[in-house]
Amino acid sequence: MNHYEAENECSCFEKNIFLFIDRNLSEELFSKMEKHISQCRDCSKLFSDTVEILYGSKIDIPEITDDKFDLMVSNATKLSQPGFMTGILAEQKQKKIFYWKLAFTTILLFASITISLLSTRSNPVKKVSKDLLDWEGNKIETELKTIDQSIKSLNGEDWNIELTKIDNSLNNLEKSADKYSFN
Amino acid sequence: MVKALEQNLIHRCRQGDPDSFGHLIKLYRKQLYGYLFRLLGNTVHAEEAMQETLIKVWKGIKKYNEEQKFASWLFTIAHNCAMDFLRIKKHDSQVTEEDPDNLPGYENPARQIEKEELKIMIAKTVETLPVQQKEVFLLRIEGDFSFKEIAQIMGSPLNTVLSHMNYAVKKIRKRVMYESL
Ligand SMILES: [Zn+2]
Repeated sequence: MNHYEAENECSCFEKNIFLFIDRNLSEELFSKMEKHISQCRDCSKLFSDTVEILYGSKIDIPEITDDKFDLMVSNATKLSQPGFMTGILAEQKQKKIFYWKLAFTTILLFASITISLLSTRSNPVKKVSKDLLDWEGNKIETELKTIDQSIKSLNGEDWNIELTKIDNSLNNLEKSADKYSFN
Repeated sequence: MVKALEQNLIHRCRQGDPDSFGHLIKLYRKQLYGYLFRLLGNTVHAEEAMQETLIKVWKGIKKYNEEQKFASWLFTIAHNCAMDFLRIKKHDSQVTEEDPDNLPGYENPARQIEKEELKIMIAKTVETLPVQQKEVFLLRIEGDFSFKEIAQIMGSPLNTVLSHMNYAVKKIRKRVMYESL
């Protein structure tokens, strides 16, 4: 074997040493490397050092206590069934969103009424004559019923539709009120 | 025998049995904690990462593909948790890559060191390795995985894993077996 071939075999050994240790090589290459370390002092030393590092370097480390381990297992498993994290949590989240929407709509409704009552514009309800109210009474009642139904039937899916309905009804009510205001 | 027990426990975990989960993880408890402890450097961080790993394993056990070795799947999750942890704690910035060929003392003569002393010196050197070299090394030493399995766990090509290991062992050899002598 010439110098070039020997060097080549050493670098091949160094490159594949971990696969050699794992025996994760073709039989042919494994036998070649096995033969090489029996003849090459450097690679033989590299091999024994590497094995010593791999198998002799496991140190004693502090172990996790049983109590801590049990707590970790309990923390991991107590939340839900495996793979069903969306179950209860998702339901609670949906409910939370619904209540927020309901609260928002109620505030919007009260704000609209308060603004219309406190506005400097002459109060349509107070100034309108009884006859005129009777005349438009049904129309106003229908709008109020629409708002009421919208709030009652409010849920996650048709939130936008119901909100638009409420908005339209409020606009209609305001238009009706404008008709009866005398400045 | 162990494989059958493991499969049985996995099956029960999938049905939502927390006790079986405890028994299943106990099979790898020492390996898992050893790997995280040595990678992250202290008990507090190791325990946090282990807790995160267990939560993810429990949540994901229905998705675990039984064709894969359970230990490999478990350590893949632990590896990801540890990497997230290191990213958050910015441990990466504290570790500097060194060229092993520039380390002094390679030519020093060898001498016999007591085995325990050698272990401690190796452990100290491992602590100074760049994170990927350290990880490959610890998955091998603490996790007992083959290099092929380590490549799967880390999601890296086998050649990259072997190259990290090569650098790690070179550094340890130079520092522990030659430089310090
Ligand atoms: Zn050689």
